[in-house]
Amino acid sequence: MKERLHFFYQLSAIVWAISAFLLFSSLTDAFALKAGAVKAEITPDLGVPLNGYGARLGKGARAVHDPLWAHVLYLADDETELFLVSLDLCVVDRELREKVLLMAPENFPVQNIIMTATHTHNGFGGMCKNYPFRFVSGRYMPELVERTAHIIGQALHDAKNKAQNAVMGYGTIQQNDLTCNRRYPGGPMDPQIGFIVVEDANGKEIAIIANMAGHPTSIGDEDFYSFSADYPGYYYLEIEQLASPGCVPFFLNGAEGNQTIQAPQQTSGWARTEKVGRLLAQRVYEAQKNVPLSEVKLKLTAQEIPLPMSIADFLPQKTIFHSLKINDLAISFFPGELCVEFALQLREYALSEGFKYHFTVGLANDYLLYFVPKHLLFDKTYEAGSNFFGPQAERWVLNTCLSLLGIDKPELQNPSVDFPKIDTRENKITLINLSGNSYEKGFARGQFSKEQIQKRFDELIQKPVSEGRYVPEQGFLASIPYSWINVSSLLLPAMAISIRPWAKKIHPEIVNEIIGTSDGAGIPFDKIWLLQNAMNIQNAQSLNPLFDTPLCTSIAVFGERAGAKDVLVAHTIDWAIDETPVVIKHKPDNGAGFIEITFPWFNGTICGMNHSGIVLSITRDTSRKTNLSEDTPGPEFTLKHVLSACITVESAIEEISKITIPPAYHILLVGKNSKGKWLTQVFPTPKPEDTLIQSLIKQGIVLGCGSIIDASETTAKRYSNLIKKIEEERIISPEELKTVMTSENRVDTSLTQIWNENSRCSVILEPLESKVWLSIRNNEGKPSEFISLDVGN
Amino acid sequence: MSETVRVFNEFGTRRYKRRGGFYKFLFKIFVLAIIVFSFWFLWTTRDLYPVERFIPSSPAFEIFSPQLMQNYQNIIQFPLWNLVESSSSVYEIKKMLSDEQKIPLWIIKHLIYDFFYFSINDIHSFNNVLLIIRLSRIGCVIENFYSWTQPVEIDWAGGLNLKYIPEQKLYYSRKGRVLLLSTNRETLIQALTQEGNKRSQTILAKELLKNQGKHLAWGTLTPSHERFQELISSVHFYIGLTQNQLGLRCETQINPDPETPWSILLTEIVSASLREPADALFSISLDTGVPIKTWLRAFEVIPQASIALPSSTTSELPFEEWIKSFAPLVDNQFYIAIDTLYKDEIIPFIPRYCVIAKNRPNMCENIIRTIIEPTIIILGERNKALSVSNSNEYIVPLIGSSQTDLHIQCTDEFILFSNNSELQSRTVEYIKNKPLSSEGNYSLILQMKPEKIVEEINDATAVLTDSNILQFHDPKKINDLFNKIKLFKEIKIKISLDKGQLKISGVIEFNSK
Repeated sequence: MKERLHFFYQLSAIVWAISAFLLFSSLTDAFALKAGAVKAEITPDLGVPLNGYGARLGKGARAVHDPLWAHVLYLADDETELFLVSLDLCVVDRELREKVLLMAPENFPVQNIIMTATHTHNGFGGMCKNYPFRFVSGRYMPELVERTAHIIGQALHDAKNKAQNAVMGYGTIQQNDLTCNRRYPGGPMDPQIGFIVVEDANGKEIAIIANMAGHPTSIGDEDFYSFSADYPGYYYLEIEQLASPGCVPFFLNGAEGNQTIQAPQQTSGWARTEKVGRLLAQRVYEAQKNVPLSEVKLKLTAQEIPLPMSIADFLPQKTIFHSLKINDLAISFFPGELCVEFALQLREYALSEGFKYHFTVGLANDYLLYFVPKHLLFDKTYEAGSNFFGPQAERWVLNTCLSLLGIDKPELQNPSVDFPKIDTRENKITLINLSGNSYEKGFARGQFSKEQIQKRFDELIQKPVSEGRYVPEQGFLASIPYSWINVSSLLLPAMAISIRPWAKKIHPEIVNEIIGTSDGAGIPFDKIWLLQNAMNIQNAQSLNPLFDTPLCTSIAVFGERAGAKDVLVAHTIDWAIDETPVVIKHKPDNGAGFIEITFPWFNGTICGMNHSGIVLSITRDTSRKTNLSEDTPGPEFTLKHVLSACITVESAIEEISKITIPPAYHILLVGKNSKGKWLTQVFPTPKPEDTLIQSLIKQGIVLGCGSIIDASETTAKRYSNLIKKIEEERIISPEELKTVMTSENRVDTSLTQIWNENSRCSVILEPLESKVWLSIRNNEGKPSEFISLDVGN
Repeated sequence: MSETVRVFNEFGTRRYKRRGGFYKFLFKIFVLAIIVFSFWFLWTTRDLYPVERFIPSSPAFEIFSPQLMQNYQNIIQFPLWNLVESSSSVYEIKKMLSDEQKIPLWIIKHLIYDFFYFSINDIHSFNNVLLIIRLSRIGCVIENFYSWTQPVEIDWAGGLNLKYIPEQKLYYSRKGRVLLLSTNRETLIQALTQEGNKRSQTILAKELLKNQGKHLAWGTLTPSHERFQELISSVHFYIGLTQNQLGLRCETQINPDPETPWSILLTEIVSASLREPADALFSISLDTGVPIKTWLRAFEVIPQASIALPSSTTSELPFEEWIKSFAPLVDNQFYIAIDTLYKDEIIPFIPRYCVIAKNRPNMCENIIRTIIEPTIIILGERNKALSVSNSNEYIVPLIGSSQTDLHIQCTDEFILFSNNSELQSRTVEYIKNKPLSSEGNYSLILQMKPEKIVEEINDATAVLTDSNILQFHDPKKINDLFNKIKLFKEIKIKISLDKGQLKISGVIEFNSK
């Protein structure tokens, strides 16, 4: 009996102990969150340079309008502890972050320090060592980095020391009167204001955090050189007035790349700045009263991520990313300025994955300039011009932010594309078979052409740029001694950004193909795009004879002259560089399959034919110089689109008519009209008063050069030779065309001859048979035997 | 007892005597030979002619250096040789002078004994050079032995008895202890036979006497180009050398075309008593001779110079125009000091500078008005000079942070432009305390420290190379160039221009690394 009682006592004790443990556990669980917040002034001495505008020329501050602060929040649950640091600075420089990490409390996991800048353009600079950022942030002052880091470091310790049991609530409110799109009137804006409130056990606010997307660039001329936190400064003042004493207000800027603040109630100047800041605070304060406060679970992910390919060598290779999950709130921290489209897209993805709220916080931990969605990248805007990562950056931003939140979106992943099937035929002819959508075809092509793209880029772009051959004729850039120094790291990004908007002139599917080529080759888009325009850049500068050659001879014979074939087209590609063109066979997911003859590194089409018998051939006469702003990119990219999209000659004419053909170019088009009749046309249309050309057309001959009278002397002589040979034949068969197009002059190999010292290949196209005949220059410089290729079904 | 002819054998004695006689004979021969040789030596090495006799009257270029071999050590070890590529022809001179060459140094010392002269008549063709050296007596003997033992051809030349070394295509002739060499027969004959137009030997002798104690070398250069000849008839130069220093002095008379505004300007310019420049990487003391306004007016009439004074009524002025608007207010004297670079700035090549210009009397009020009234446009930005409270100082922000702001200070004595307070106070202090030069009047005194300048430039470019913004096509070449410049520790040049009389003197100090 005693034993039973003893057992009963023992059992009771165990039950009590377990109950007590569970009760204690639940109690501690309820107060698992600890939080502490402090603010510390970081305003430096007058004279320290301001950051944000290059127009300040690195000048220092002359006054303090309102102080600059570092706001530090320490949060910890049973698994995670972190610091959230919000700084009244334009950006968080790497130099500052590195110093602050050294000053973290002992045993603190330093990767869990999230540093963000409010992006005030009246904050101080002087903390960036590297060019060219120093041109905006002013002179580098290591002592300032040290001082600022020391203040922040002290604040980290203070915030941690002040940590107490806390609860947290969060939510969002909507606005449409505080921010707007600064680039496109009525364009996308982020109506969401996100907020977080942290309270202590007594219901006193420890911190109130607001997240809104809007450039703090509201300070006008009179205080252009004054320190100020801009509208976040008034947000702090208002929160501090409304909330419990000791409450620390935080402002986290959102995807503010193309967002600015409005002028509520028609205010202007400082009144506008103040109104936005105070309205933001009042609305957040009111809203936070109604959110439930509870214990929360923190999940912070910090990861170093490699940056996408860039043409700018001065950018780093990788950077730190943070994502923070607080129960069902997801926050993505981004090290640069995101355009608002990213925030809206990220939110959509996050909410569809079960998160209740998603905040985007920009300017966190690092500064990689602007990130612009692909569809806006080719606009001539400040934001697009401040992006050095090209169109692939859109996918990279979304992928990176979502993967850190544990969201996997296969549609954002780069598709896996097999290496293209290559048929190497006799006589050096390389046939590349491409299929899939434009991007996939481009990707496969990039994989194949990687070495040649890099080689041609080095030769046609990198070398002349580093040697100072592509510089303005006047100004500072013209005065650099290029024979000694190479500033291509600076010039190449500048050139790339200047010509990026030209891509808007070509069909988006061709742009997609070039993007694919970039990914496939692992070479930045901006480099590939520069290379695509190399011919016109070179020609415009008139500095290098490399391209100063007539590019191609082409001719079409039709009607009775073509005999049973109805129509025949012949094209000889002349090219000063010793390289062999390739044949690419496209089998796109949508549109017509086609064959094109081009160079491995060039995404445009020089000559090609599609399933429907549309034949296009382009010739270029470089005696006419290129006007870069009007004539680029060349029509070769439109030709590719026409081949892939048009099945009748009318639709092809319509597409070609949409573009302005530069004076140096002529396009020869052959195809069936909707009534099934073959038509031949050359663009620009020959003048009616050009009697020679008109008489040739009557005889069933169309010259690719359009007119002999307007052509350069060399081109005119070459075409005259061609006419002489063609006129001898009453009916022209493919065999006769082959003979004519590869006819050599043993003595004279100049460019006045049809097959000349620069001829790389000769192509005969039979639209009726969907057949292409091709002859390639052999090692002796002679044309090889023609071999036939089918366009296929 | 018979009378026997006695034959006395005196063999031993005789032998002895004979032997002694032989040696005596030999000795006599030897003494005789010595006497003959001595006589020959003295005879053949007579100093028959003064060198002045052979000096051409007016070569395009000539250089005298009587003490050349006495300064042999300084010459051979001079740091300037480090600048010469070992593959270059100039380096051959060093090789020739160095002890390791085919001709031993002691021979060279006897050949170039106490006189060296070199001249060229036509600088462009370089084929009529003349070298005159005076040999020691041993040098004369060496010459004799050389002409006996080497393939030297005799050229009668109407009794001048020239000698020709076919291998070197060189003519030479020894007159007493004077040896004349030339690549051109005519030049040599002219030197040997000149009578009518030769220079006054007395004057030459006096010049030699005067200069040889002071200078290592001296000479004259006459411009060959007609346009230059009109402007400058000839330049006299003097060279001095110590272990690490090279001293140079040039004198000439500038005679500009009297039709040009330059001639008027030149007749007005006189040098003045100047202070030495302040201690900085690059500093200048300058006396323009005439007011700076007069210079600018002279520039105005020169086609393509496009230098014109801004209108005084303009309220908005680009920076360079604004600076020019001070021209009518300042006097002739300027002190400019340029020191290290602001490498931490947005442009890492902004130098620290201080420019002090002496005021024209009673101009301070006008100067202040010129400072504060106009709006100054700098790279499109509009700026106004800000007044520093309780001082006569004004600030104009330029490119870069406030440390590079242009500070302007105006006193009754001078107007000062500076972007660095430390350099500013250093320069002002220096100018105030440094007495005026007692050596003479000058138009310009320039002082620079190439070694430190190169170090500064090197550091500034490192800022850009570290950021991957700039690369050198050939870093080794740049490094080599920098290393060569680093040999120059300090260069000091003094120029005086007095009514067309131009005197330039300079001292280059080398690092003896």
